[in-house]
Amino acid sequence: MPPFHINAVFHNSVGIIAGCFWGHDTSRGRLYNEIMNEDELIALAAREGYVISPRQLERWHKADLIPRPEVIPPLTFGGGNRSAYPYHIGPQVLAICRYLEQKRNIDAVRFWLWLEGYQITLSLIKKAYAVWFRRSPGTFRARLRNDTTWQRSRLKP
Amino acid sequence: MAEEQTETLMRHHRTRNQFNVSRVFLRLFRTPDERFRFLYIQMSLLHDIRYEFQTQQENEELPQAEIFSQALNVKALRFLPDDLTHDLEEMSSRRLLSITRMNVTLEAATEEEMARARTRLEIMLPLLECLDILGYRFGPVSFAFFSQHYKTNALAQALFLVFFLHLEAKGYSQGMEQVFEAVRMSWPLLKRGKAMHNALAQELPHVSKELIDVGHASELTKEEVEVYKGRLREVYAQNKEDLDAFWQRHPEQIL
Repeated sequence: MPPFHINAVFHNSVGIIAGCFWGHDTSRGRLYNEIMNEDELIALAAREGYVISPRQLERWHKADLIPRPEVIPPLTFGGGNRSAYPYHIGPQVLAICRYLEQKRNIDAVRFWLWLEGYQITLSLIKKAYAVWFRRSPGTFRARLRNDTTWQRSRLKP
Repeated sequence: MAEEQTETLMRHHRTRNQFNVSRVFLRLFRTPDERFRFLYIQMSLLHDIRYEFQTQQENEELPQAEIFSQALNVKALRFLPDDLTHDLEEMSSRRLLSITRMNVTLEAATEEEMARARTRLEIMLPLLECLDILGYRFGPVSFAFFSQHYKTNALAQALFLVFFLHLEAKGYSQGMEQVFEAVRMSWPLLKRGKAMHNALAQELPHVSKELIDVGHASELTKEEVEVYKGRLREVYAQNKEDLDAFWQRHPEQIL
């Protein structure tokens, strides 16, 4: 009995040959640069025990938690447009579900995604921090210029 | 600004939650004046106001640095010097805790600097865990409590990220790296040591009683270490069979 499965070898070879012709990376089984539609993402989340909806995915990409999907025109006459996400987005969606369970705050989730190394626009991270510290003394800097030393007389009310 | 916020905090610090961090800290001070001064120092440091730590005090009044030392429980944080005046003075004059300046640093931070700060942030949890295993406390609060809250608190993590960016901008990057390198090296060892302690306490409590805390080991003098080693040899001789069986059951604990 060979230590590998003959079918797997066959499929891999077909994939690699196809990859040579169409420029796809097939070394990891399924086409790496293949796309995922909403249903597949929802099914992926359901397999891990998370319930998400197409509306939720839309909200997430509008909040820049996931990349914007590519809109693919209908295949048949009368069919609707389809949203196609890059294949590598699966783990990112699962991470969002995990973080939202922990804290229902989009800014916090975006920050954690960035910490995990996902592609998040830096300006959004900086903006979130600024929002958290909205009441920080930045706006009062001018007022503080005249009050930069310890004034003992003013200490005791 | 700092005074206003201090007064607000003085009025509203009495929350129902008896474990509220500011309430726990303020409970350390007996008089309202000391509480006020402690809060004022913090507010000044955060609000970009230079605070003079070396000013003369009136009779029977705690020096400024002493107020901070009391809150931080410096005696328990044995790696810190007894007199913090010089360090606090530097912290104040270089505006190391100023939120305003941290915001400016964050605004100017490049992608590379942010990525570097992110890598440093990964060490925070191991650092807190190391401090906890070594038996240190941050004022009245344990480091285990801090790490528990830190894990789920994005704001705290963001604060540390910006603090690291700010420290780097102020030229403390080499010092930070040294600390983090030490944590990277010691964390796995300390974790294994703690697991061994726990296993020993469960299976052979009479032997575990003879071991001293990891945090106190560094305080022993050479002579005390020799006496301790001698005592451990005696304990091993008395419980040889039990201990050999223990190591066989836990080969992963052998350092």
